[in-house]
Amino acid sequence: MKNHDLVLFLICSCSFAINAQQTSVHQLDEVVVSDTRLAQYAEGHKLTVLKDSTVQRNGISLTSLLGFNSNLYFKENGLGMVSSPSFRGTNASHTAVVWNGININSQLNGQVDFNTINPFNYSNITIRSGGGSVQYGTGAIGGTIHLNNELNFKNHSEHQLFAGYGSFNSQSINYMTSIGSKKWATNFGINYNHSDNDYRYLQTDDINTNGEFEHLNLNFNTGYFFNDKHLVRLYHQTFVADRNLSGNLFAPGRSRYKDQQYRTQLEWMHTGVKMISKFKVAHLQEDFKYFENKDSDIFSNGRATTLLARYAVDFDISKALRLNTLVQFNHLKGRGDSFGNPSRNDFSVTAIAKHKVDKRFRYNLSLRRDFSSDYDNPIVFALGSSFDVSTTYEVKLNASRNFRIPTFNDLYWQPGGNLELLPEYSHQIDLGHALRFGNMAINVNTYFIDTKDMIRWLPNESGIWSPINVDKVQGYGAELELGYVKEIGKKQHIDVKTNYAYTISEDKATKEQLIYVPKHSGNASVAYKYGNLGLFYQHLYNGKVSIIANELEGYDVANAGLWYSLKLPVTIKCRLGVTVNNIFNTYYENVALRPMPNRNIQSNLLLNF
Amino acid sequence: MRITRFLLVAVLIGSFLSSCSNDDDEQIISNLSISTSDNSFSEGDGTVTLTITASEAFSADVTVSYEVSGSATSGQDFEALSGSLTLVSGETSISENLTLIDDDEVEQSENITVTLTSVTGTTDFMFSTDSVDITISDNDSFAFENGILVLHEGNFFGGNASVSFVSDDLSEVTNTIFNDTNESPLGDTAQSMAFNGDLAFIVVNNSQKVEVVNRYSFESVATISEGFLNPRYIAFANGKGYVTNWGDGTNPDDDYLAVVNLETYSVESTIALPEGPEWILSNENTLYVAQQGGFGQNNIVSVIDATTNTVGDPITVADRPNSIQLIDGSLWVLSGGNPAWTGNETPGQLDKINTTDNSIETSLAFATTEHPNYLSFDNDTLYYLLNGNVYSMNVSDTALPTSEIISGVFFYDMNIDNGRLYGVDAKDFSSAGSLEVYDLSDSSLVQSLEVSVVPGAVYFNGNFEF
Repeated sequence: MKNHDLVLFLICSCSFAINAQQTSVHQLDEVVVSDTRLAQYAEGHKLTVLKDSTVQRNGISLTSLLGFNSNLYFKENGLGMVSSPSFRGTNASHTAVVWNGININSQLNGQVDFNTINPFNYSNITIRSGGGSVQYGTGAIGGTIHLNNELNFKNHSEHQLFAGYGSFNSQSINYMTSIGSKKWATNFGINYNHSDNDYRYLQTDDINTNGEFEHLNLNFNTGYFFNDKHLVRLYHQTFVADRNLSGNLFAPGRSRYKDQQYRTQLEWMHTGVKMISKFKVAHLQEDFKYFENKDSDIFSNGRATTLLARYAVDFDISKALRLNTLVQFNHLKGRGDSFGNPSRNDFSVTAIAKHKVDKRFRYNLSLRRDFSSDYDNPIVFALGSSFDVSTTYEVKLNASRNFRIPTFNDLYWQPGGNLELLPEYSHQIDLGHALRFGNMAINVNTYFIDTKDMIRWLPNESGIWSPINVDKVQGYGAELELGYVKEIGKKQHIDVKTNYAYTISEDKATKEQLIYVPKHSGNASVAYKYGNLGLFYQHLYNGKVSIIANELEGYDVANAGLWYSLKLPVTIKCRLGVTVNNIFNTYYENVALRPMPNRNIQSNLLLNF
Repeated sequence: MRITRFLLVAVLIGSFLSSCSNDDDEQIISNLSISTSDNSFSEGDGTVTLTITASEAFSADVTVSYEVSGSATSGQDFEALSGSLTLVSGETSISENLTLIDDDEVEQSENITVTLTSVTGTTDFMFSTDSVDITISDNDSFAFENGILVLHEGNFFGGNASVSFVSDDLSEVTNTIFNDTNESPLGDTAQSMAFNGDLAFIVVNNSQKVEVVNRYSFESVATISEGFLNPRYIAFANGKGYVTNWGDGTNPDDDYLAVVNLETYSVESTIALPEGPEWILSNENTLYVAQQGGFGQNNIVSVIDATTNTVGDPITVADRPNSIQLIDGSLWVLSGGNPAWTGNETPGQLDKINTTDNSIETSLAFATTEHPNYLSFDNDTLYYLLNGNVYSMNVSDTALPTSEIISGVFFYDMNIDNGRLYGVDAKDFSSAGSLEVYDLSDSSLVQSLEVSVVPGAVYFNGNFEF
């Protein structure tokens, strides 16, 4: 799109109503957080909560949201295609995604595709840096991403409609409602995204072919207080996606991937005087169909189902001492063209003790043991502590042993699946400093991660690719997070956030940096609000990365946007926004040979009523 | 009569005596000749001196003209010559410099003929040697003659397919010769290469194309990018190229041979084939295609008549024929058998097929758990790889060999040339692979050379000949 179109668009977008009021998307008086452990047992860890205002800047993509607002680095096979994170230099299956307390990483490949998660579906998104396998299970090595839905137990009825349209025929529509009383609360959301995704590759005459995608999400969460002591909650989400998989500069894409994910959990919670007990059952299912030729009806498919039951007890032993124990049973089964019909039972026991030594010092100790029919049984532990040096300075330290269990593909894929695999183990230590000076918050973290028995697929003596526990990786790094918030008068608000990460992640055998781990990466965002008008600018830098036998140049990419709020008659609050992505029209490849989009515009409308 | 003759002699003697007595009036005939120090030169020799010599000096300046002819081209092979020289009075020789141009072009030897044509300014001359012939030999060769070409698959969707050249004496490895010569990447997943005359045809599977280059210079001749779907191998017959294609790997019913017009470098027609056409070779105008089976499995060799492009009766061999060779008119087919993971494990098999009637002459079966691959040959000896060991047998042997000649290798392909076995090891498929060279006379490792990522096939380039 040419510059004058952009300017014209900005002017049109700005010319709506003059006299309006700023709206707050969520105003929650009483909140029940699903994942209480996240808040209760996070000593020693850096927790970063992404606010609604931040979430709304990056639209429907969790990849873009985290890429521009955290220290996570993403590999994205082109816009909207498979996106996998690298958290502190770890690999794609070393970041666990936790949905209302449950690890939802794929049983098939151990990863979560961050382009399939729509940030709008959650009340808040929290990034917990550092290992968390004791609490969150497999894959919680680099860190965990928590997707939480809050239920609001008060008399209310709120509706939100978000509609977006932009370049490449990108469409997005999202409706959410939250209604409730003191006894019950429900929220429901539905959203649909589509994009032709046929952007032109800068510096060439080629366009991104075969990149169309569409997603449909349904979310339903509800809770009911039978009385003061008994609360039952139900969380459900359905995700349906149909994507073509784009090719790259030298290999045309012609395949298609359809997947569905269904997640449901039901929890009963009893709150006693000294004890909270929770019983949870969950059903997670992932299905995929892969079409080598998108126009053909021949496909290969796979499915993995998890049935989970968990009982957790949280004791207040004394004012200083708190204990959380949980037992969890998982029944996993799969079926697919490439891995038959495996099933497996896993069982785990976890205990976490938290001790508040005094007003300034607290720590927790935790231990977990897994028992599984098909792989070596991991024992992991963690220690986390926080110490308030002063009212403005907190020191955090955590150390842990974490694991990633072999996936269905690793264990059962035909040919090659290897039932002799061990889990991958990782040891790490993380020292953090958190400083708060008035409007400014600074977090500095340094860490060391040592991972062994990493699973890698290699051809065996028969020439068949098979996974083995071969790689050892050692990494260390530093993260700097700086936030500044300032209110000027009643109308103006400034929000500045920057992240920088220095990451070393080396193969111990070769002493070389792992592929697709930038040594330097950072981002910065500035948001400014004046009355009803808001502006933002966000900038991302990813340093050069090694790729197989080569190097991929680093890049800078920036987005900018503005929004305007207006209050319509009746009680509808309206906000209009427009975002220009890749505002400097930079050519960049995030994954080699896959050029990312040129400058593009996404406009949106947000209604609250 | 006698008196007349006497008088004539007397007049002649008189005139001779009078000319001797008066130089100014009498003229002498000078013999002119052209010469060089040698008759053959290399184009890098610089300057060749052409010398024109007169037996007698002239009393006035004369201009000697000459003509340049021959297969060498003025301005390209040598600096243009003026075509004439002035021989100053009193001098008996003059030189002309013929400057040879040392170009980079590989060309045949050429000749230059310089012929003296006329002299102006005098009539008193004769040409004794009126021309000289010079042969100029080329001092250039193609960059990739006389060596080993290693084709690299690279990584699937990695766009890093490449070709390396290893000199015959194994002293030098040049990587990415296609990319560097043509300043453009080869593409994604190079599956195979085959030669037709001076041209090499590289089948680039995941880029759905065939690159055509001069096999000695690797300069691009053409890119054939339409008409392929999962192309695998190419062979030549009846003036056409034939490329095996899987079609969609998951569809057993859309496999085909693409017929390539070698003048327009385009696919002109297709021939439907059963599931999984892989290795192809030609015996005059008959094509044999090993139907290994793509993602699935198959057990036949297809026979195609290249004069009519029709498919004849297939030859049934064992499961998954993975390599075929033509030796003295017989077709040898090595089948791998189905591996264990298919749930229907079958043994490998080596078949010898009489190409006159396509009947199986001999058939040697492996054990059920044995799945050999990479059939190669040198003279009358066959070689194959089984469980990381290389075995050899004579074509006349009636049983499979029981012991290996080389053990513990990880070859992703191998080929034999002139008593040496060249195997490629793709290592971990993400760092540089190697070319392992064995001397077959004593099975010793001659050298291990680092090449590029995922080397997948070995070919040999000889001396370029016009």
